[in-house]
Amino acid sequence: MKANDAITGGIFLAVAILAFLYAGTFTPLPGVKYGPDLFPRLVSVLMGLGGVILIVGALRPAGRQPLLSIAQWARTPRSYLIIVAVLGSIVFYILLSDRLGFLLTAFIMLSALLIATRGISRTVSSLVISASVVVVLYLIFARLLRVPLPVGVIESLVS
Amino acid sequence: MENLLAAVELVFRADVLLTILLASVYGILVGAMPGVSATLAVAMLVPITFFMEPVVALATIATAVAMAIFSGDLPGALLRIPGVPASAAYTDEAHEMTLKGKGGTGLMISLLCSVIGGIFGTIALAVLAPTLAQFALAFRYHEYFWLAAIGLSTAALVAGNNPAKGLISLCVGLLLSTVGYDMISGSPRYTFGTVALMEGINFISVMIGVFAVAEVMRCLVHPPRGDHRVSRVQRIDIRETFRIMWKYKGQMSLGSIIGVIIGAIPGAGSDIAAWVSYGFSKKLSRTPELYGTGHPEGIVSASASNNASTSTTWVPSLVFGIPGDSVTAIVIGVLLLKGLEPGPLVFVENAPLVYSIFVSFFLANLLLIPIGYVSIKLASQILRVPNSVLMPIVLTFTIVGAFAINNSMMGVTVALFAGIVSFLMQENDYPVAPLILGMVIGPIIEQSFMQGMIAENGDLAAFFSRPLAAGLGIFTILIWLGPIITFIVRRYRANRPAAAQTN
Repeated sequence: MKANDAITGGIFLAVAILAFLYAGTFTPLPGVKYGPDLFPRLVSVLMGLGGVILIVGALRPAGRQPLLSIAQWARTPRSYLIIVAVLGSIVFYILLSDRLGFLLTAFIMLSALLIATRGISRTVSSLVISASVVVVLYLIFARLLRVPLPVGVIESLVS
Repeated sequence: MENLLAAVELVFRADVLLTILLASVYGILVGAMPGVSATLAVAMLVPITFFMEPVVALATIATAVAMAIFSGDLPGALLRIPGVPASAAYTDEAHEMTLKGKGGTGLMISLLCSVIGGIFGTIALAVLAPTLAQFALAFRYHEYFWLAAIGLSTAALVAGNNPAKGLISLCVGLLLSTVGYDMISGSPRYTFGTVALMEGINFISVMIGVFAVAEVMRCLVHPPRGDHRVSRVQRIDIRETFRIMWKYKGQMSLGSIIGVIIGAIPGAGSDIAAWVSYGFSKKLSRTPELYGTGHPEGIVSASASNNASTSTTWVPSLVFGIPGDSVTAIVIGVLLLKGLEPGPLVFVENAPLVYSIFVSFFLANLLLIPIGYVSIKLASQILRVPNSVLMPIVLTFTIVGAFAINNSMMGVTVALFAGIVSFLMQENDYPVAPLILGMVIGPIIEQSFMQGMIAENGDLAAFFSRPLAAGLGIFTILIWLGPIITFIVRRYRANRPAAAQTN
């Protein structure tokens, strides 16, 4: 999804203004003339400048672009499915891995992703790939490198 | 010299050598996968390097990168998809050679030129870095400020077509770097009252978001369209390979030298080196009309160049702590996690460790000959791994990695947000490399700037008061003027025909 440069420029200009104003709340060290707000404020000004350049460039007659152009990929429902699957699987992992444990969460997550990318007709092989990858990851990270991955029912059974 | 011997002793241990061998195979495989850049390859290694000694960790990263920069040429030649951005400059050329049936020879040329460029770059790294470090011991905030400014400016202006977008991306990175407690005043900044943000945002998590989460989405929604016309095995003609390399030895040296110089500039790395030396070799060639038709001359120059710069990007990273590209930005993150602050003092306090990097690069480039040869032979098998299987696995792997950074879900959450934001930015042609460099260089530039402002009472002229600082400052300002001058020239050229008509 490609928005007009004036829109993205405007968003970053707004971010820059907010960052500039928020920097006013930083408490300086008494007696030091240049406080913790100086650098963030300079950066905000530069960022705002970038935003203004983009807006001006996009509004000139020579630089006219459509307000919002939908790229080729964004016209197919499959692309949205993939984006939802990728982001959803990460959210799923963040929210549920502490309760379900690493092995189960990662298995569900990877299986769902593989089914989304390879199609529902290849579910069986996706599940097999997923199970083997998750076990290898578990062995590498939990056993070999001793990362304290979230423990659930399966982990407490095998350890 | 005794440092070098100590380093050889550090590297020539069975476990280190075995790790280097494994890292080579990993680097070749991952670099050859279209969509997995050398940066992602290294980002995936980070959680594993946490558990290694510093020498082994650095040797692993150095080896994997050297391999990946070559193996990115494999899908470039066979499918016309660059495996890593550094191969993009000559992908079309290499693919044309493949269509003529000379793909094997073309890849062999690019392999051997990569090795020669890489070894040249390693020698340059081993000579330049300690010499510069001697100098850098005398540097104060003036010089650090300008060096950081050069790194940031090249990163913002060279990446992408629109300098304004590069600038914005850079500022996003700089602002992210200020989140958390301020070093000087102790005031919390941009924490929105949450405790989780007090310690700042870990840039490796952001990196995983930008290069893994966003790249996986990009790769799955815009599948790189390969050219599968050629399926037959490509023959390697060794004699022809050497004949071409000898014929274009001048181009090879020029490419290596350009690679060394560009690598040593903070903020510029191997992809820029490849483009610049490909362009230069075309300009200097006696037969520029053959470029783009499967002519090996540009490949000779550019593949020597990108491997040479792969080594020398470590120069500014190790000597000043200012990364040359996103790979070395990760390296700095790894060093800091190990309690080693990059800078001239590392060369005094930990000289054998630094020298062990040189030794690892040297070994990696030698190992590249046999491993690269095998990979050319097996290329069509390696490239058969479908993205629809690979990408979900990469994603799962990196999520575990983001968690392992400090064993908290915070890392995964940061990676998720960074992934969403950088995906949207890239869809709108905002380059993301400046964001990463901004996050790494941010603390350095802020600290040196604030020290200068407080010590000199706000006198900006003080940043030019030392001769070297003045030179670096003028260089920085010239970089800033670059896009403005191009803009004016373009305006002038656009207006001139119109003016001529009215006369």
